[in-house]
Amino acid sequence: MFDIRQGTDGSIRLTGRLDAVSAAVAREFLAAVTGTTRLDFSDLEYIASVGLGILIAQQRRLLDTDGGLVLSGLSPHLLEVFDLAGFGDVFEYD
Amino acid sequence: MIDPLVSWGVLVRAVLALVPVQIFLLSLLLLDTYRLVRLRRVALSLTVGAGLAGLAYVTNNVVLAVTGLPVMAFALLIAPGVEELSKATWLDYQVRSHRTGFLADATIIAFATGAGFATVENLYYLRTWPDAPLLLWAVRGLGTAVMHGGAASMFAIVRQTGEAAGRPLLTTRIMALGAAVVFHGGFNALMGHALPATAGVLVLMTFLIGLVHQVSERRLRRWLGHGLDRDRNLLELISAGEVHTTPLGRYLLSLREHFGAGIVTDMLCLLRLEAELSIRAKGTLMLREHGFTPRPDQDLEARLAEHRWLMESIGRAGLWALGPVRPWHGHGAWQRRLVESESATSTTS
Repeated sequence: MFDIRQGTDGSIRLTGRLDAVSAAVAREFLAAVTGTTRLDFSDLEYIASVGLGILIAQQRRLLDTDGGLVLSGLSPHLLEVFDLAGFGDVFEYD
Repeated sequence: MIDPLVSWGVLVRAVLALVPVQIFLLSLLLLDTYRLVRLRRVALSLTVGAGLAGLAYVTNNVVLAVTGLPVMAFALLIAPGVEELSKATWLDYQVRSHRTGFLADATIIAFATGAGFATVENLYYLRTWPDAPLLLWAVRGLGTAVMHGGAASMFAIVRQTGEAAGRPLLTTRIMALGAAVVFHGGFNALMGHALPATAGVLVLMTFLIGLVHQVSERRLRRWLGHGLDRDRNLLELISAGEVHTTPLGRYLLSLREHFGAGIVTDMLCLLRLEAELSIRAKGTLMLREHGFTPRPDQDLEARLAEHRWLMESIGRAGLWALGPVRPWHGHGAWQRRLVESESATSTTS
């Protein structure tokens, strides 16, 4: 079960599994985000490549309008994948 | 002194014959969302294509003299085979050595090779018939150029599809060459009808390139998605020390009897390294798709050196046994070229 919602502090919290099934929900939610926004991965159990693709596409859109996603709570494995894939330079980390 | 009208006429003919095909090639490059092909490789393929045209010219003259066939019969029956075979040597090498991985990059390389070939051929015609009517020259010159690019693309499409599907090498080569020769021969058969022949190759190539682009992008996206998830899972299993609980782990353990513990350890290191480098390759493509330029990784050269060392240590028999479970097995080997080209960029930047 996947859930994405914005907290009172403005950060966006991802929960559960972000895979091909839940990708549309995440894409639609993130497409409405503007400015610089913190994305909290602490409760995210799994993110498939389709989810990574959504993050990159949204980051491109936000960077073009002087905004951006700031990622926090990434697991060590996901941090390693981001580093290996070269995504580390594209995102900011909290 | 050169008559200015004559030199202008030659210049206009040269532009008509040489420029449109380069625009066609440029449009192919613009369609390449993932920037699979670098300009350096396009320039190299143009140059090789031009060189192959010279080779084909010499071969054609020798065969024509030996067979004594009438020129028209030779142009229809022999020349397409000689010319397509010469282009095919370069294109087959590109596919076989995994320098191309998808239909999109294979087609760009092929069209560039054909464009290089056509450039030399048109320069030859320009020298032979400098006073040919302008319209005929425009139609014929453009048609010949697109035909050469198109025939080479036909070869690349059939050959790349066969390689990706793991079809028998000889069958794929024969089918690919057959497609290119039939396309080329068909164009030559319409030599007396330059306008419909040129219109035909232009329409066919535009349709074919559009179709290839769509199919290639769809396949690449699917490959990226599934492949990245598989590479991450493999990396996570190895990092967590849980490989022994999986069928892969049990298979590796079974190899220990034949190859010894040291080699099997190297095999595990190779799997991990290839998973890491595959993630790098796919990440690079995902970033390029969205207009990011990945920062050069200074460690890539060292990792590739380690990869070479591990391959040597494991040996041919070990690599063969490990084959199906390797991220860089079969079609996946194309990623190695991508990482190597990234490494070359980081070394020079």
